Amino acid sequence: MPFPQANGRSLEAPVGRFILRRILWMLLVLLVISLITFVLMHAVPGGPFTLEAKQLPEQTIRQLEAKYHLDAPLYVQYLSFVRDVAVPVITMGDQPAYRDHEFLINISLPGKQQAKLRWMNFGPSYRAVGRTVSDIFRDNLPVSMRLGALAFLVTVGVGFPLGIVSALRRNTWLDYAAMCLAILGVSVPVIVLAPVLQYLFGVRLKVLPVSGWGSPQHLILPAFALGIADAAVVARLTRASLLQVLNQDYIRTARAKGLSERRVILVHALKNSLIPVVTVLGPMLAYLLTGTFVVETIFGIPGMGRFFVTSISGRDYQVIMGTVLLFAVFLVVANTLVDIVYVWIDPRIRHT
Amino acid sequence: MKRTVSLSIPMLVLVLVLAACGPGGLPTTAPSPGGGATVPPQPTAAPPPPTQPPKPKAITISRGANDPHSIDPQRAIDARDATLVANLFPSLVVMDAETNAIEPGIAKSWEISEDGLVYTFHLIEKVPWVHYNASTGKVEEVKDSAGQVRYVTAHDFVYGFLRALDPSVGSQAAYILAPYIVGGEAFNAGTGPRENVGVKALDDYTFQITAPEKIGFALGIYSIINAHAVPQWAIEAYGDAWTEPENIQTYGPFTLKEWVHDSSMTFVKNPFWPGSEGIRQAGLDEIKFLFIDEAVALREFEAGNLDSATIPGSEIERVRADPTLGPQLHIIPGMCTQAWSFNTTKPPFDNAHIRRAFNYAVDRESLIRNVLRGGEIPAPFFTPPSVAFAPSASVTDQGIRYDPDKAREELALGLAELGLSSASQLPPITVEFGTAKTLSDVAQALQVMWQQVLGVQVQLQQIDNAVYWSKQEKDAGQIFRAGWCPDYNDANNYLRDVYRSDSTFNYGRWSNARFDELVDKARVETDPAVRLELYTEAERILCVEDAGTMVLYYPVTAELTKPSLKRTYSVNGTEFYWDWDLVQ
Repeated sequence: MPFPQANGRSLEAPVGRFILRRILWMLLVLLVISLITFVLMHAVPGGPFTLEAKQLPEQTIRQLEAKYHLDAPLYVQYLSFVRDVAVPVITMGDQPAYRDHEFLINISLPGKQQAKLRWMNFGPSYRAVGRTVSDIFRDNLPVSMRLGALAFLVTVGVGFPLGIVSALRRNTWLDYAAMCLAILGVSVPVIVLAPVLQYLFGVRLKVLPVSGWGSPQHLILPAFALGIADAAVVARLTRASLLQVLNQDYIRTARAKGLSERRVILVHALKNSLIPVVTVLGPMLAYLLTGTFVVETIFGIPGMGRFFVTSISGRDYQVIMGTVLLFAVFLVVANTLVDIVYVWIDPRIRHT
Repeated sequence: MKRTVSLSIPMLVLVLVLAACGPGGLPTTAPSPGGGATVPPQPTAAPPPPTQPPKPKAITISRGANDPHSIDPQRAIDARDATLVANLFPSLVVMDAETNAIEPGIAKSWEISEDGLVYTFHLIEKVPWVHYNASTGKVEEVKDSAGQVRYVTAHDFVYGFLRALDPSVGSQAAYILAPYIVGGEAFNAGTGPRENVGVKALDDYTFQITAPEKIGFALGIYSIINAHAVPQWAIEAYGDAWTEPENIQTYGPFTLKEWVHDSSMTFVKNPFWPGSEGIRQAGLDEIKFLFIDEAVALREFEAGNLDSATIPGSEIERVRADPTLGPQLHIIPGMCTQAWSFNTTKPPFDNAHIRRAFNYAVDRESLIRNVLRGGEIPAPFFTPPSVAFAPSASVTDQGIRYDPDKAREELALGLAELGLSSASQLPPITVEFGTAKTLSDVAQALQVMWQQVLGVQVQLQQIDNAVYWSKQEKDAGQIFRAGWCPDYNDANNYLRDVYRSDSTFNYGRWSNARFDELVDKARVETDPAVRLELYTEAERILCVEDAGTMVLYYPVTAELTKPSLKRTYSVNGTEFYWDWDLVQ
């Protein structure tokens, strides 16, 4: 089998087409996901106003449902959701400030006075009165993304070196120590690790804030708590994969050719051992960037994570749809990135 | 994988402010509003401002996780919302946080007509609407387009009350207010015009409400969570976003300085609030509320970063034993009741003897000591003692208590009546409850108690909350988890609103003619002593004699407070932050 030349030029066009196709597929995937989510969440008993221990009177529930158009037939509700999210609208002049009509994207158009292109209205939250899903995306998503990005750095920054060191020093005390650490990282749940970190560094040593958000110091403990479990996964995967690659014939050939050990590892072995690691890093990145409930709750961080949980338990329909679609987008994008990285790592992989 | 851990979110339900008379109906010095009593105007003496302004008195406290639902009075939902609203938008009258005595809010005085139908409130004059200006860092008076200061007027109350009842606003407490104002129910149901609602402004500072019938506790209803003045012009200009810090206008002891959603909220003192007898000027300059989980709040408190924190019930034992934290701990009785009820339409609980047998067999003290361990209070009656006119505040000995001999005696009587020879011949019994750790703990304890005392084996069935609540309404289990938190602070809300035979909340379909008669009488009775008597008999029938429900305990909250913070401990769910201060 002839090896295709992996120069930048010849890859460019297929990658462009590949991304375009992925985007089109993503739209279809999102449509299907939104339909499934919509059906499932309405199939679950209870509604946003019937969940409190104390039942509201029938009439009040009906009024609230009418206010949010929950009294319309389900297919109408679904279609108007799709319309509100997908179809851009142009508005003239000052919009009344009713939050139900809050769009995620508002672009002022040139020329005409106060004309605005508005796109993606995910609707209101029923539980946080007066807030919309767009507000949540605008206010809470950046927080989660900042924390998630840092946690991802911890994952990669700790996981990779640990895995490489233990693979190269296989069956030495270093390997055992590193893998011991990794097992500890995987098996200590964040719900235990996070309070321990808080107690140690916040309450006892008083070197870092216990909880909260705002300064760089606030990021350290949650990013570490969030990243360390995944770092352990990455470390173990890297080690296993690297060991496998090191046993392959071409590595022996490279060594036989007299290449330095450093070059053998860095250029020939490491790159090829990345494939399984990169595969798990994609979904990990999507998870981390969209926020995690436990870490955000324990550290009092105003991120997205809580909405994945509270929206479902609170039957906050629009927030459920918004968060599910958001996560789907992140996941599809992350996997697309992974696919592109595959090509870079191993030119034999081609996307058609 | 990481999103499936559930943390217990305290279930706070509408806890509202007031009732009409003194605590538990005991004779107090509080003015009695019944029978056309007139309350003389109370001069409000504002303390002279200090000559040398010291450094700002600011505190940081935590009262549970999650963003408040809303601080818009007409859209607020739970008890924490209600407290925030009460500090920003004073109600007409207010019930003291610790004594439950009724006091003037923004109404300096009021009259009730002879027939008990017309309530006339005289507002404090020239209380300005204020707004915190972030660029100057100062609280400023709100001015209209002509440059005139906007004062809180009776028209603002008319607007607020109508907005509370307007079906298009969707106030979750509309159903509480509506029956107590002429035309209110029709307007709220969309069948009557706005103009027919019995609220009007006689002049700028005189607000009048007309009630459809004489009610013993109407004054309290007129000060519930959604019965506050709101700024019409701001709501019309900003829509739902009017409660954001850049838009909001308030008039109470505090105003909103900052709201970082899902993270924190900051109140700043409003120097323009003149203070009234019930709602005084704020002692503190600034209060920051952190919306963090209770377990986290405890660690923050231990790290010295909080002046006061609500902590998880599971930590009470450890904190109490701690030499430093122990003395700073305070257990606050709540206003809710945990009860489990019988479905009286399903055998064997259509038989009163069987119901009484199960009821007597529950050792509430042991349940609290060995299972709950959070300092809960055993419940003799359905209405908790912190609710106005609750017999449990004075005559607890007449309530239900553990009595294994009586339980076995009642079981024997019940079996004889049913023509059965032993408990094993009873139909299978299933206990239904929603999803919460505490509930399954309690259910298992009850199962053991009934097994040990009565020799009856029951099945436990835990059901997803959403399903549970809708099932309970249509088809409650033989024994099911019930319980209640108040809509407003009066025993009427516990007894008549829940257990009258035609109440929608009476899921067990318990019916007792004498009980109905008693609570109907108490509803319109204005003599406090008579009301308490009526409720005492009603409670005895409900909780002991006819065993319509099985009350277990009153939940409590646990708070830690630094000694440097001088504060009140509210019994009625609404914190009066204006009375808090730092010890210099």
